[in-house]
Amino acid sequence: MGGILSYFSGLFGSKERRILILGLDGAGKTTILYKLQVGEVVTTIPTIGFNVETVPCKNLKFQVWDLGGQTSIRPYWRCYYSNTDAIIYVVDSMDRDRIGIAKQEFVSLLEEEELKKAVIVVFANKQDIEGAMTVSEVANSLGLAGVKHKYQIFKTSAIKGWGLDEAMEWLGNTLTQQK
Amino acid sequence: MFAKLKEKIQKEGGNVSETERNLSSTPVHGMNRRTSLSGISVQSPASRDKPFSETESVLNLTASPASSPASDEAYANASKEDLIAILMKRNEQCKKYEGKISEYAAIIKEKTRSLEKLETALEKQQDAMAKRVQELNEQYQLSRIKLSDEFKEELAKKDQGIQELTEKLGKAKEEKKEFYKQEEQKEELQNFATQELAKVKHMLLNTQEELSKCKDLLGSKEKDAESAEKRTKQLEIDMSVLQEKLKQAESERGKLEEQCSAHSTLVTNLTREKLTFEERVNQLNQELTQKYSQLKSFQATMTELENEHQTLVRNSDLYKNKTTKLLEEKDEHIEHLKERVQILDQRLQDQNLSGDERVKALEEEREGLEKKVVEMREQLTDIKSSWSEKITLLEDQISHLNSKIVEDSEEMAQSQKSSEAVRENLCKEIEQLRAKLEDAEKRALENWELAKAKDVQHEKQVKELELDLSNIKLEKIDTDTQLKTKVSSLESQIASLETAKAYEKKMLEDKLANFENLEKEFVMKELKTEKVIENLEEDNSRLNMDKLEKEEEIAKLKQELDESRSQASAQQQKVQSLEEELSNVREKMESFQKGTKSKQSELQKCIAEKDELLLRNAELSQQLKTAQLTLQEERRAQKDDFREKTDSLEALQQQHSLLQQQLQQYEQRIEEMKTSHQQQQSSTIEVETLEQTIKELEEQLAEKNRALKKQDQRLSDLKKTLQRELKVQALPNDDALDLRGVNLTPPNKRKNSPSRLFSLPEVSHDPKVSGHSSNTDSSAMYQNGSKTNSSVSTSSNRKLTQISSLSREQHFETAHLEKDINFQYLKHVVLKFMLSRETEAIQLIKAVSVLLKFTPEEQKLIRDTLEWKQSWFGGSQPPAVVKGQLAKVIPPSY
Repeated sequence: MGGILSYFSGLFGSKERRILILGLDGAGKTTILYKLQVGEVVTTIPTIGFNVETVPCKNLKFQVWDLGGQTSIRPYWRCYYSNTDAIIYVVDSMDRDRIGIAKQEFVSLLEEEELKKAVIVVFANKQDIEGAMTVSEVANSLGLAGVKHKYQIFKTSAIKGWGLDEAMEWLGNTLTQQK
Repeated sequence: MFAKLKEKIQKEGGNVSETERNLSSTPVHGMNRRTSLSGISVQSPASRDKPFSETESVLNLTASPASSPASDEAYANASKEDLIAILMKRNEQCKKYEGKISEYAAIIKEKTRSLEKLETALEKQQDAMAKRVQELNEQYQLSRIKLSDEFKEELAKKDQGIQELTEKLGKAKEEKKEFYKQEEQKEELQNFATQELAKVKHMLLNTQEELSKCKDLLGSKEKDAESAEKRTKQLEIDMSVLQEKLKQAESERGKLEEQCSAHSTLVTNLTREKLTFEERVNQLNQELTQKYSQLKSFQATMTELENEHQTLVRNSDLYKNKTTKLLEEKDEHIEHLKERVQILDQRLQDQNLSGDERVKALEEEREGLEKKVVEMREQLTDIKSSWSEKITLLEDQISHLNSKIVEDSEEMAQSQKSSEAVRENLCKEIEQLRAKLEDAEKRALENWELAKAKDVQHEKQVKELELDLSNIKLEKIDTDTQLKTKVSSLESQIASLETAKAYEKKMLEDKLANFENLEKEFVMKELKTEKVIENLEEDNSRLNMDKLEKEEEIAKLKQELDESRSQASAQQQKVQSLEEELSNVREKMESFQKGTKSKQSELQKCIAEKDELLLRNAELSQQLKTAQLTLQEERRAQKDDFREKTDSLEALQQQHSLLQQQLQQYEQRIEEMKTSHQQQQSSTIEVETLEQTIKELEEQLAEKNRALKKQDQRLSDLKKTLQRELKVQALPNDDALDLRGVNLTPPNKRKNSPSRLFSLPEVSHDPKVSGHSSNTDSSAMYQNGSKTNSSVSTSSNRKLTQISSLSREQHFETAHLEKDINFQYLKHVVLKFMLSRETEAIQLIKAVSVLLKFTPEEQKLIRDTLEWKQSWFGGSQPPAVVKGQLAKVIPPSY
């Protein structure tokens, strides 16, 4: 049945794009996913495993994978890299202590062969809290200047819903332009 | 595999435990080792020179796998039988070697002697060494005790200092609390004072404001009162105006009532007129009905007259028939007469002749006369037939006329009936009736015309009949003349015959006389016939006269009919006029009714206006009353307010005085408070000094805490390093548990094992042992010390082992947690993999295979099966075709 559905969805209308939401634990990946899907802020528990939801954007359909970001399950990220169109990398703007770890993970992401063609979107999340790192600070600390991928950084707040729509619009536009 | 691994692990664990035991019993071991070393050093020269049986036997004994640290007894039990067998063999050998032994025994004795000497020397040396060791130990202990005492003293001092400081801190805190309390009290007092002052001021201000407000209110109320009075005046004026209006309204009402009465009289008159008109209408209707009845009677008379006319016509017909019959009879008479004349002539001729000739002539005459008679009769029958035909024609015509008249009368009756019905259907259809009447009149006229035409026809017919009659008369005359001519001819014949007669007169005088008589009789008869004819003619004239009379009567009847028609028309005209009058009267009635209606409506309007005016009057009077009442109420309320305000003013003044008194009291209190505050300020200075001291103490405490933290960090570092070192050795799961189990039972084993252990030349491969060996070296420095020393060292070692075991437990826990997260992750991914559809599941193959460490073949198998499931038409068989024990797919049940 799934075969039939996918076959027809391939023939008509929009093709599903595969997007991964990555980032350290507690960055707000799951909250962003459900804010995008439901439009509401949902109470979440730490994700041990992953969440998958389809999010419609314009005439595209995004199959968004939110992978758990805990230290012990971070190595399993690479199991999901194949056929990925875009990566949303969520950074906790308040967590100055672990920004270094975030950068390490980010760099190792960019080095993956399977993600050479993927579009990178960085979410500087939790901008609603006072004293958060600015977008430029986050960009500098992640070393975005040296990234060869097609990328963009957005200041977001999953709880307030800031910047998510613009980010998804940009992502939709770039993905439609690519293919 | 696992079993092997376990064995290995057990071996290694055993090794570890051995090493541990070595570690834990290092001081004893050290001693033993030293002795063993010394033993070896002692034995080595001997072993070079001579083989020694004891060591050999020992080696033989220890060559068995019982080299592990098992208990001695168990070992002995296990090796007894073997030993007996070996002993038997050895006894034989012994016998052989006894000789040699006896040879060696002497040498041994010598050696034993030298050994004893050496042993004594060794003992001496050992004693000396032990003494030295003891001394060193004592020194060390002394120094240690001293150091520990010093430390303890210092610690006690520090504790005391800390206690003092804590006491001071407690005191300072208490003082601080007290100070705070005092300050709070002061602040509260000040706050109270200020609040009360503010309250008093507020109250004053409020009272002043209220006073001013009251004054304003009073002023405003006075103004209101004035305005109200003005209003009352205005209202009174309005009242007077309204009363005037009322009066006017009442006068208007009277007028209106008069008008009403006039209207009512008019209405009554009109109703009367209406009644009279209605009566008139009824009368007219009655007249109409009467006239209808008259008409009906006239029509009935008309029908009667018509009937009479018909009867008369019939009578005339009958008379005609009679006349014709009479004529016929006359003709018959004439013919008879002629025949008789002929007969007589022939007789006359016959009389002239001889007997036979006469007879013959007479007979001829007779025949001729008879012939004539027959001819006459034929003629008569012809005439009769013609007459009868004519009569039948006439009768037909008359019956036709009669039927037509009957039809006309029927039509008349129908028209009358219809007219009656229409008239009965009241005057609405009068016009239609008129039309019908006109139609009927036209028809009547037509009928009249028809009747006239018919009359004319009748007259014509009558004239024709008369002409016929005259013709018949002429014919009769002709026949008469003919007859006369015949008669004359016959007379001539008679004259001739008379000549003949005269010739024969003489002979026939008798006969002549007879004949003359006969002639006379004939003349008489002729006269009679002439008389009959004359009578008939008279009858005819009479009939004609009757006819004329009847014609006159018909004319009269016609005149009467005309008259009746004229009467009918006149009546119709009258009816029309009456109807016109009726319509006029009705129009008048309608106009009157309209007038009455309009007047009634006017009346109703007037009544409504009157009611409205009355209502307005009542409302105005009510408004006046309410206005007066409200005015009175307002005045009362104002008076009450005024009283209340004067009362409140007095009360407020009293309150003001009271508040002023309170203010004075509060001021006094404030002064008191100020004095107390000054006192408190002095105390606050003291408190500040105390706070400073507290701060200093706190800083000291913080420093000490930092130091403690640093020490903790160091400790944690040490732990970490230990963990790392242990990690290298430690294996997951069973390892830790074994370690634990071993750790739980070390002391007993240590007691049992050392003698066995030390004999084994086993040295662990771990680098850790070197560290411990250094420890043992250091402890070996105090080798000469007593058992107490060793116990101390063991205790320290135990501590170490405990720490290590703790760290291991922690490590195990963290590993378990990690494992738990891994397990959770695995569970989550596998669940999703199993629950999702094939397309989604393919994306998860990699994750699952990484988690479960699938081989690439297995991965491929899963991918293939999923794609096979996903494909529409798919192969008949899934990709996993391996069967038997290695089958990875549950074979389908079908």
